[in-house]
Amino acid sequence: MEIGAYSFGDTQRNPDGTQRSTTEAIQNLFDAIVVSDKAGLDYFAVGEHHTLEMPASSPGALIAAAAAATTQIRLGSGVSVISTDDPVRVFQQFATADAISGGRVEITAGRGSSVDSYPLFGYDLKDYDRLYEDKLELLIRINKNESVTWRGAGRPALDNLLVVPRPVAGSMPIWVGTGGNAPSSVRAGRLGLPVSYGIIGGAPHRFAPLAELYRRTAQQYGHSGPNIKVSVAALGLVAPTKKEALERFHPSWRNMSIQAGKTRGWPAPDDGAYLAQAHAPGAYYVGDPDDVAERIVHLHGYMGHVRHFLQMDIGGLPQDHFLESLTLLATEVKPRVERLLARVS
Amino acid sequence: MELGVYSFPSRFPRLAELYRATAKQAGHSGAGIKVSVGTLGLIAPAKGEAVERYDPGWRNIQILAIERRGWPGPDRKFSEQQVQPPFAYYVGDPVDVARRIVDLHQKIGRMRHFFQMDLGGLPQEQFLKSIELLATEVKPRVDRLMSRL
Repeated sequence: MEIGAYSFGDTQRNPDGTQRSTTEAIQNLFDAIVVSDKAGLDYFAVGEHHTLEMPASSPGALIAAAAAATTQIRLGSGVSVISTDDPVRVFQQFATADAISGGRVEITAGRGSSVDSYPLFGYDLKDYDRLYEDKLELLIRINKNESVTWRGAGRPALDNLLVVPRPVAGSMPIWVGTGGNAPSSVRAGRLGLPVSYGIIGGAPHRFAPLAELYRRTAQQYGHSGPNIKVSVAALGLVAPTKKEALERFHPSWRNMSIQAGKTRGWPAPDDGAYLAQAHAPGAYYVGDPDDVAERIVHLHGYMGHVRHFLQMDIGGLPQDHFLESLTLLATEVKPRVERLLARVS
Repeated sequence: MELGVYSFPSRFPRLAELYRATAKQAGHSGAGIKVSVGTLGLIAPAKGEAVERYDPGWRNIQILAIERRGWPGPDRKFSEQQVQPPFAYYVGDPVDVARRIVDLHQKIGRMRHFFQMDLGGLPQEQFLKSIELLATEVKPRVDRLMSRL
């Protein structure tokens, strides 16, 4: 199984709680990808959010830079908010990064769990579904053919127009990113695209029926083969001991929860809920390598996923804790996951 | 302001002048008011080599431009003229190109001159050589000539 990470960028905080620069957040994120590549992590996904706390708004630009500075890690978006972007531009940016990387780039197209990009790019939330459906269709077409004809919502029509550069392998993997609503799983299955579940709360194994719905739908529509697969994105942090991991992640989780309380109406942070989520069968993969590896493999029994990747840098997580977690994920968690999976099969 | 100079640089000083006068009228001054120039060009160790290296790529884009934009056919005379001063193709050896950059600077007063060299399928090694010569041979000559002005 592939083990990886994703990030929206994480603006650091001063001791008095004020936020430091978004520039530093982007530099930290870039450094983290380079460290992940050296440590042997399989995958790193970037963005897209548009806030002071999470400033990784341009996954394509960051991935292009990372492509030049890395040698083996696969790079992607987590997610590209395709509904409010131009699929032609998204494709061009990712295909450019793909060329620089020698073919290590993927796109995950989502509707976005936050809606900041709608007013920013001049889209109306009432078009949420149609924009996504139409623009995803365009992205798929561009990925298949260098000359594209398309008509739909949110973008002028294309009549046999050329889109370059072309990806190294002819096309790039395009995933559907979803927070777990059933229609998205059906859509991914109908289109025959791989699906990436963002599981940021609750009990992850409860996503198993969605993965099943996805696989069944894919089969109904005649899709099979290596493109029909599932990945899981979740919150987490790895430290040498479970106790350290819990202590390190707690302030970050608190800060993020307070922020989400202001912007999304989340409930006030509850330490009891934190601890519940940070232990099996909760959704926060916070622990030592043994703990995190066991929980990933446990979920694999339900989801059969091919990739598990974690968001660690939230709420001003100190950069050294982030880098240590990425390194442990690659060097300690991944081999344990492989060993455990080998025993299962 | 960036000027894309693809034909006769002689008309561009007037545009730069108009830009500066307009900026002044609108109350803008200081470091933000400046001019750069983007042109076609290629540097090789000798002028003859530069012209030979540049010509096939130039012909290829002319042919494409005929198909797509209705340009006239590639005219060897035109390209021969354009690679000589005071015309717009900075195709030459380092001495030639540096001189012409400084000559245009005296007319436009710009702070950056940059080149499009890789067109029409220019071989990559010739592109890289040109970039290297631009940095190591043209730039110091431009600096020297400018310090004498």
